[in-house]
Amino acid sequence: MRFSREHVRLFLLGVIFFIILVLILNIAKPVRYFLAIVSFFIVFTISFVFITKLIQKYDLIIRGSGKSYDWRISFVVPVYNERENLRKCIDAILNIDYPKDKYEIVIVDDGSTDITTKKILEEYRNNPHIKIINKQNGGAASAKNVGIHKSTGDIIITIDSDSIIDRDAPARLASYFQDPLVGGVSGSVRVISTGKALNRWQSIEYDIILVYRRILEAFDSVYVTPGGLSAFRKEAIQRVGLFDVNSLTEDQEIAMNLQKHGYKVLASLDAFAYTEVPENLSSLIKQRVRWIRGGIWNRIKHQDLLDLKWGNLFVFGYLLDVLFFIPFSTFFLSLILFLIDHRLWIFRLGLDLLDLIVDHFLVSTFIFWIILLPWQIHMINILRNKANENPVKPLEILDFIGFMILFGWAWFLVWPFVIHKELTQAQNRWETR
Amino acid sequence: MKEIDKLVFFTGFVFVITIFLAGVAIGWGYSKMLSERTTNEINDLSSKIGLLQAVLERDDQEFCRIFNYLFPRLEESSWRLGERIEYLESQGRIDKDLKNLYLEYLYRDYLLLQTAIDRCNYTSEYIIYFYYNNATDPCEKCYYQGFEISEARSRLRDMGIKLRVYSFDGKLEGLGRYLSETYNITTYPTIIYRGKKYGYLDAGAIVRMIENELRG
Repeated sequence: MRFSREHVRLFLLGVIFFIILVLILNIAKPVRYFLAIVSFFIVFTISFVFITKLIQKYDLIIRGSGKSYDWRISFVVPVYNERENLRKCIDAILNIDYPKDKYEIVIVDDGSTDITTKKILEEYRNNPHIKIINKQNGGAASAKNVGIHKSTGDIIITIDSDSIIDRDAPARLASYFQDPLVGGVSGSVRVISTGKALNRWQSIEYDIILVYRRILEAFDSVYVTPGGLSAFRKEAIQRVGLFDVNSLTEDQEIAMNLQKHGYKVLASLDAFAYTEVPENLSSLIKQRVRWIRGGIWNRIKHQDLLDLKWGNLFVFGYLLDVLFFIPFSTFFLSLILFLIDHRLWIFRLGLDLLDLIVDHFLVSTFIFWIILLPWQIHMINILRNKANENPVKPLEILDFIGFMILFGWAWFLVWPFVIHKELTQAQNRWETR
Repeated sequence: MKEIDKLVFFTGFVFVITIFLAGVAIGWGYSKMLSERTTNEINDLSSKIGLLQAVLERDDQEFCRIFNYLFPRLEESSWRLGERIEYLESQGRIDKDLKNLYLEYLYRDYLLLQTAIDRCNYTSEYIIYFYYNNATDPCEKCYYQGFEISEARSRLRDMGIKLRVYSFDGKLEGLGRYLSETYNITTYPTIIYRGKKYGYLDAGAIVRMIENELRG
């Protein structure tokens, strides 16, 4: 049986029903606790699976990339109303450490309506390294596809127009393609710092994801090649049918597709690009809604990955993502309800603070958080070391605590928006952040 | 065909089980500690009540003087103890022995108060609150009644009225059942104030009831 959009709608209605049951009627306490414990085990087992793998293959995971200048590279930059960020993006590419005669920049203007963007593009029109292509608006994936079609390189590096590539990144990414089976390599996309809490938390998240992705490579299961910076073998990407123009997260879809066609997808830890991230809650929610919806639809499209024959990719790229959200949300919900419940008691009783964490389940959770904190810091330090930055300072630990307790666990808050968007079938294909 | 890294998943799972069990052990240890602390507090309060009883047996006049001095001072710690017991109960972390010990203390406190009211013209507003706490047949209204009584008590305190609350689990084997039979309690929660029985009352209703009585 193949899943269809109707199935997803029914599933989402089921989710709504479930949430109403748990939240409003509050009669399903045993169910809630059961799901919370199940998800507790899923969430933390996965964390420890990553830690175990990191310990097992530490040297391999943290080793840096080599550099290769052998390939002809085409940078494909899809653009839509990007304004000033675009200039920084193009200038950074023009400044890379790579032979000038071995790369080109293909900028695809996907029907921008903004005058500033058009003016900036005009400034670069006569640059011999740059091709500017104008097309009707059709979304990021279609812009990338047009760019690939017009490119002449053996390696395609896709980069969002709000990302700034590091000088060494292209040579590092190119080095992975010595292996003829490699179809794609994800770049190391980091956050441009603005100092705000939301920005700092996303920065931690992005950095942790980079190390996670590198560990996923050790599991042969990298299932995202981020739009911010990724490299592809042109022949491979053409063979799998280019980017899916109907996908909301085409950067994930392509990674799954490549692997289904027998190509390896790798992850670099030191081919950096720096990108802007949502600066307020509403744009963050919008971005996460798109990620989740895109993720759901990619799983539906590639439901044949739901098979043990895909090994770890089936577990990480499919099973966990499918299993993750509802139990994960339930776990978070249970914690919130538990804390609210206890807060009432605390206000009422003036009991010791320790009473707050006396519940056995919660004690275990706190132990995990305490164990995971140094592990998260260690991961960030690996990254910062590669980027020649200072290690985490003591005060920054507060950011980690905020990230782990508030940001990392708040994904479930996005679900009502996901459900709303999905039920209203809203399209939002042109968002890179 | 690709493989699933079973050993790594198994190792991760073993880590989690270990930490989960460690959490359970710590939680259990803390519960035990809390329970022991509560027992000590009950014993401490009981010994003070015992002192008053000893004085009562020896000398009526001295009793009234010492009662007036000591009893109000026990009030806050007695209340906090009651709240702790209720909290432990709501978390299912209280054993019958501890609860009986508390009930005995509370009943002795109550009897002593009655004696003081009769013999020393001591004035005190108090209610007797019957509830029960049974995991298989929970009394949901009792849970909320606890909150309402707390709220009422703090509102009355703001108005300068001190309300004592004697909370008895009417279904607890032993003294609890004896008291519920003595007071002929058939439904829960039941609040007894100045000899009248009431069912579930919210905080506002409790405050109004007491205010009206005090106004005469």
